[in-house]
Amino acid sequence: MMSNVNSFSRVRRTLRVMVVLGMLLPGYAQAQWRLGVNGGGTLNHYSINKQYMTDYRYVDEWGGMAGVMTQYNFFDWLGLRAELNFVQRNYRHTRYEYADRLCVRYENNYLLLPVTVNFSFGGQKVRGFVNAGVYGGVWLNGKLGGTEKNSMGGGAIQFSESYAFNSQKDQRGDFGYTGGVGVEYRFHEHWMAQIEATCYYSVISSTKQYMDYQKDYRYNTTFGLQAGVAYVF
Amino acid sequence: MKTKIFLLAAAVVMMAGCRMESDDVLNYAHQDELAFSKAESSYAAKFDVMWNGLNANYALWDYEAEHGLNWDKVYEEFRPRFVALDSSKTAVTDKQLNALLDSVIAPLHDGHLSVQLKNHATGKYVGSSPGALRLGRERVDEYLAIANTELNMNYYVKNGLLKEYIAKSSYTIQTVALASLKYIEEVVTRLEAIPESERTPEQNDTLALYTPIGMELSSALSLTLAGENQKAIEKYNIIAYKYQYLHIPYLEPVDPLINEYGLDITYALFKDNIAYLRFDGFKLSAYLEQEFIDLLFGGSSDATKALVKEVGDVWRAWFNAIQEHHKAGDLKGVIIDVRSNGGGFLNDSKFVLGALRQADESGGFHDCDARFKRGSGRFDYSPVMPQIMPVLDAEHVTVTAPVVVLCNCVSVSMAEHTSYGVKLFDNGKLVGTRTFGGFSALSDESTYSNNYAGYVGVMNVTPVFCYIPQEVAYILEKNSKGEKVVEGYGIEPDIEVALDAETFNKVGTDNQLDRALQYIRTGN
Repeated sequence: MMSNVNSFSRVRRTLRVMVVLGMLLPGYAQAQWRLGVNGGGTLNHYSINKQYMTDYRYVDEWGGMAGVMTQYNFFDWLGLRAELNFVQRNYRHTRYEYADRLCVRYENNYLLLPVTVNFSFGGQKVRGFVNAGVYGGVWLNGKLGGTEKNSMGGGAIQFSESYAFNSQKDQRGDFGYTGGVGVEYRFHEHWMAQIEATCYYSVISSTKQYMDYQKDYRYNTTFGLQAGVAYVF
Repeated sequence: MKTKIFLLAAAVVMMAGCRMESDDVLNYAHQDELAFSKAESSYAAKFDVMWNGLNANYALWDYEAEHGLNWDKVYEEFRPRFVALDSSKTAVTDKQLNALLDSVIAPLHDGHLSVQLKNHATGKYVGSSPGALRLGRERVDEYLAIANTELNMNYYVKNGLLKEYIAKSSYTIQTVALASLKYIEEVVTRLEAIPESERTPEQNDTLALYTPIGMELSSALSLTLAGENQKAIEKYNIIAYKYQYLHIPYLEPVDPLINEYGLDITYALFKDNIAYLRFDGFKLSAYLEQEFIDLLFGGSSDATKALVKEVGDVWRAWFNAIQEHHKAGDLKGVIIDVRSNGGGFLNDSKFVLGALRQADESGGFHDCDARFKRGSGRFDYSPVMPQIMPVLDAEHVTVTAPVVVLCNCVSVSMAEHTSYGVKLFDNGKLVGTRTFGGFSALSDESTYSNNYAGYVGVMNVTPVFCYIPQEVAYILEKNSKGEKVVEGYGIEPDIEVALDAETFNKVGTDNQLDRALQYIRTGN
C-alpha cells in the first residue's frame, strides 16, 4: 500500500514540474507537426535484490521496439513529443556455475506511451536533439524459455511457455522516466529521418508489494536504439 | 540557452532517488549465529525466524492462498502471542509452546513440513507437523486401527496359501539384542533351577554375571520402544564390547548404519503365482545398489554384510519370481504393499514400479510434475517441470499381468508416488484407503543451494528448525476435488477398502490384501 502511495506522489510531483516548465515558456512563433514511425532494438537491465542467492545472475537481454511518434514543435528548438511504442524488456536468469541447469530467458512485452519535451539544436538539415520526459505503460504479456533441470529427478530440459500472470504478484502498469539523444536529418521539405538512443527508467516495481512484512522491488531499465522516419506537415 | 540547460538539468535531478530499496532477507538455512542469536532467548524472535523462514522457503503459498490462508494475517494474529510468552511471569512450559506452535502451522497443507522450536525455559525441543495434526484431526479412527495392528502373512502361511515366503528384518538392535537377551534368560533360568548347594563355582559365576547383563540389555531394548534407536545402539554396543570376552552368542556390536537404514521386507508367492512384496520404508537402495552398499557398509563387519545380502535376497526373490513366471506365461499378478510405509529414497523407484516396466522417452517414467521454490519472495517459483522416476537398468520384463498397490492413510512420500504411479499403468490398480498427503519430495540439506530453498536451521541445534520440501509435486490429471496438488489430502484409491483391524487381530485375514487378490483373480 505504502509503495503505491509513494509512486503516485512521485507521479504528481513530476507532472507539477512539467507544468511549471511549460509555464516558463514564451509564446510560440512557429509551430510544426510531425508524424512518424520508429523501430529498433532494446537492451534491458533487470534490477532485483538477489539476497543470499549469490550465484544467481540476472543478465541483460536484447529485444525489439517499434511504434508511432507525433511531435508538435513550438519553436525550431522546442517541441512536445508523444510516442506509442511496443517495447520488449527482456532478461535472462542463470547461474554462475550451473548454467546447464538453469538458463531461462524472460521475454516481456510492454506498450509504452512516452511524452517528452524535445530540445533540438543545429542547422536546418542536420540537427541534434535531446528528449526528456515521462512514460506510462502496460505489461501486455510474457514468455519464458530455456534450460531447466528438475533437481529431484530428470535431466536438463528445454522448454518454452507463456508466462502465467499472477494478479497478486505481477504489476500490470508501468511508469517511469524516459530520455533520449539523437540526430535528425531533413532530407526533404516534408520528410525527415532520425536515429535516437533512448532510455526507459521505470519507477514502479514490476512486482506488487503483496507481502506486508517484506518489501521486494524489481525494476526494468531499458536502453533502446531506434531509427525512424516522419512526415513534417 | 543557459536557461534551457538549467531547466533540463533540474528535470534530471528530479528523477534521482525514485526507486525503493528491497528489504534484506536473512538466510536461515544454516547454523548461522547472526540469524538465530535472538531466537535463543526470545519466543517472539523464534516466531520471526519461523515465519520469515517459511515465507522464503515454503513452496505452496499460492495453493494456501487459494484455500484461504493469509500468511501476513498469521503474523498479525500470532506474533503478539509469542511476545506475550516473553513477558510471562512464569516459565513457559513445553506444552504451552507446543500448543501455540500447533495453532500456527496446523492450516498448512504440506505433508512433510515439520517445525521444531527450542523452549529455552526448559532446554527441550517441541515439534509439530501439520500432516500429523491433520491425521489426528480427520482420520484418527483409521490411524488407530492401523497403529494397533501389526500386518503380517501368518494366516496365509499357516493355511498353506503360499508357494514361497521369506521375511527379513535388518532392524539389528531389536533382533540381535532380543536374541542375546533370550539366550541369557535361558541360561539364567536353567542355572536358577539348580539348587545353590549343587551349583559349581563356574555356574555361580555365570549366574552372577548374566543376571546384570540381562538387565542392561533390557534397558537398552526399552530405548528402542521409546524410538531412541541411536541411544539404544550406543548403550547396546557398550554392553557388547564390555562383555565380548564372555563370547555370549548374538552379543556382538551393532553397526549403527544398518539400524539407520533398517528395513522390514516380506516376499510371498501365492499358489496361483501372484508375487507379493511388502516393505516398511523406501530404503531398498541401501541393500541393492552396489555403490550405496559400498558407501554405507564397506567398512562393516562380515555379519552386517551378510545381513545386507539377506535383505537384498528377499527383493531378488520377488523380482526373479516375476521374471520367471512372466516368461513362462503364468504370472497371475503382482502386489506391492506400501501400507504404513513412510517413504524414503527416490532411487528406490527402480526397484519397485521401475522393475515392472521399461523406460519411456524421458529415460525413466514421468509420474508427476514439479515446481520449485526459487527466490526469497513468497510467490517466487521455478517453471513447472516433469519429474522422472528411474527405471531398473538391468534387463527385466514388462509386466502385463495386473499390478496392484496397497495403501493406507500412513502411506507417505515415495509410498504415495508408488500409489499414484500404479494408476498410470494400463494394468495398474490402487487398493486401500486414501494416502497421507505428503507427495512432494524432500531433499537433503546438502542440496539446499540447488534452489536455495528447503531448510530453516539445523535439527536439535538451532532454536528453530523447519523441515520443508523444496518443491511442490503435481499429479498429472486432476483428482476428484479438481486439483493436481494433493498435499494434505493424498492419493485416492481406485478400490476403496478400509482395514478390518478387528478381524485381522482375531483371525489373521487381511481384508485389504484379499480385495487386491480378488481384483487380480476376477478383474473386479
